[in-house]
Amino acid sequence: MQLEAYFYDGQTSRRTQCVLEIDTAGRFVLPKGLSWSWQQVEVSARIGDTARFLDLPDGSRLESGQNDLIDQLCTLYHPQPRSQGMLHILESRLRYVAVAVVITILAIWWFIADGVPALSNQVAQRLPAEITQELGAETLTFFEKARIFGPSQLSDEQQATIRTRFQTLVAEQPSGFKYKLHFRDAGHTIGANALALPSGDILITDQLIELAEHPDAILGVLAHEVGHVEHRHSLRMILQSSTYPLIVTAVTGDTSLATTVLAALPTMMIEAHYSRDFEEEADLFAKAYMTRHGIDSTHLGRLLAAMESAANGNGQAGWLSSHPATDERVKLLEQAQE
Amino acid sequence: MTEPVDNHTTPTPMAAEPKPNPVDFQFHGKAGEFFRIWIVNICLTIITLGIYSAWAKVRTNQYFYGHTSLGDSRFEYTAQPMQILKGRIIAFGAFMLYQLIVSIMPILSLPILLAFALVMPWIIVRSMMFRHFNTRYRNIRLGFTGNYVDALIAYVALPVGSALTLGLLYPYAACRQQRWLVNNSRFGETPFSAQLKAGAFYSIYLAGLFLLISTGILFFMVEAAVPTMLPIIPLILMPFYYLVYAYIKVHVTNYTVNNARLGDHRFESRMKTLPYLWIFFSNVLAIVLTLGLATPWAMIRVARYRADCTTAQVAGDLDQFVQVQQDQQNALGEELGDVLDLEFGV
Repeated sequence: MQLEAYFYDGQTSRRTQCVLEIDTAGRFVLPKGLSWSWQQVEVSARIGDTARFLDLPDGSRLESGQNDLIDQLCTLYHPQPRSQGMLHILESRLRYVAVAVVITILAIWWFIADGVPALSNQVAQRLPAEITQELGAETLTFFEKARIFGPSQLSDEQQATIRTRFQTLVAEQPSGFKYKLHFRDAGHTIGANALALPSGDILITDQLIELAEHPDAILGVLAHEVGHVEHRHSLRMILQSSTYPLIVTAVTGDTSLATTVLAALPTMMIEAHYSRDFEEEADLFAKAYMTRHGIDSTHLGRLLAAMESAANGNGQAGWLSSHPATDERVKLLEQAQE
Repeated sequence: MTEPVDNHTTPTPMAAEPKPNPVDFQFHGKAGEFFRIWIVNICLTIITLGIYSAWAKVRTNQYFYGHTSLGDSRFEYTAQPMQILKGRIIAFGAFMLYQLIVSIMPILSLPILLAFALVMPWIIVRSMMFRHFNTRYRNIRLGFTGNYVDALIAYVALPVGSALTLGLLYPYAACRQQRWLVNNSRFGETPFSAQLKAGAFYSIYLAGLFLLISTGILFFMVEAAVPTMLPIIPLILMPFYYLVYAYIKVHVTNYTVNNARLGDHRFESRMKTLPYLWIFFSNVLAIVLTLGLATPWAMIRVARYRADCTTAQVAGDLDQFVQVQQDQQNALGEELGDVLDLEFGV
């Protein structure tokens, strides 16, 4: 068999073109007269159709692009370690490549959709409550600076009534969060709204309180927010979204812009999905609390509906945009209570 | 003839040199072929929980080096996966240790970062040595002789100085980095050299700054004219910022390569800002639209463009380089650089 190759002696960069005659025993003679056998040659792994390098024991080497012939010679005279050949087979047969595509997509999909959220949940539940304290303090400062809220216009008696019910609500929670209720005016910004910070600081706007037809509805909203804190939703979300860029970088080994953008995709998709799940969890939390205390949870449902029409009326998309369809939530809250 | 070119740091008069013979760099990789290697790499990396990533890296580099040729001889990447795996494990361990220490004693994070700033130049040196040692062409290895102190100046002291002077020193730092990288590289026993002038870097970065300021002015004009467009303005302006990035990248590469010499041989780089920007941008778009599956195609395109724009001006032939005897390098340096995301290169 004849192998066309370049010969390099390893001392200088001089290149000698040669055609090697390989005899039936695998022996061949180099241009300068040295004779080697194929068994003494170390052949570089085959990667796609890149040229192969044949290392000879004296440090000289041959370069040749005749990959199929080299593979044939290797099986004849010099069985290679199986692993190298196997990799090339995996990389060259379409069916294995297809299997690799499917496995990769499924694995990444599973990890993004289930693995990371489960992991974040585990971590979030184990983190001490003090960490979340700090997160909350930063957000509160940000709200002050951004002037999103004004001081509440509610009377002291109104505030005190709601606070009392709030204290009963949070006294029941076994977790170590320091709950604090803040009344705020948001007539010019987010309107009827309530939000929970991971620290246990809960903000409720005057507009939401005005909108409520029944005091129990306000309690329902507060219980919903406490549910977010108890389930550590914000923390889980933060952990989840900071994990995706790490995964994409680890898998592709690339930190370029493209992978950064790519990492943002699962974050957005999963966030939309999980924020709905989180809302449902918080609704159920509120419903369970109200049921335990013999309070009609449909009050919360009615307030949700009122909030939706108020938001549609003034074109604001706030609390409700991240929430599941209000109809579904109202239904959930009206469902026969176990 | 042990030191064939010793005093070529000053250019010899053109008349004394034979007429150079242009030899193009060529890249022969194909997206379809590389896609298979890439997807198998990722799949096996996932199945082996990351261990295969060292093999994946070697195969990827072997693919790109092996498909790059100069005058019909191919380049070769010779690193062993086990070396790289060892480096990765150590780098990963160091990173986890850092996370652990910082989460237990946050007060230590600043001293650790300072210590890291002192270790980083060492990592860069090791990483360059490893990469060069494992690059072979015509059975001759590249080599790297840069030392720690110069790396400390170019990669730590000057960037810190440039931060303190509001970026005034930045082009000088970039110049020192390129000088350090080129002038410490060898092919066999023959050193590379490049007379890189800080002034050239200042004019490149000034032009970049001018582009950036124009973009900023455009931003404020659009914002003032159509305030409702505010949320999408960054999207519109993003291409302009990448234009600045592409401009600087292309011109620094061209300037460095065009001034580099290897013995009597010279190099030529003809990259252009707009084609480069287009490749960069369409790559990002394709990768995002295909959820990452176009990554191999994107990598191949960049490699092809760079090879297509690069030519060696060979004086005589490429047969005269002499191999150097050198100790084995280990992968630790390069892998630390890899995991901790230090991007540098010519």
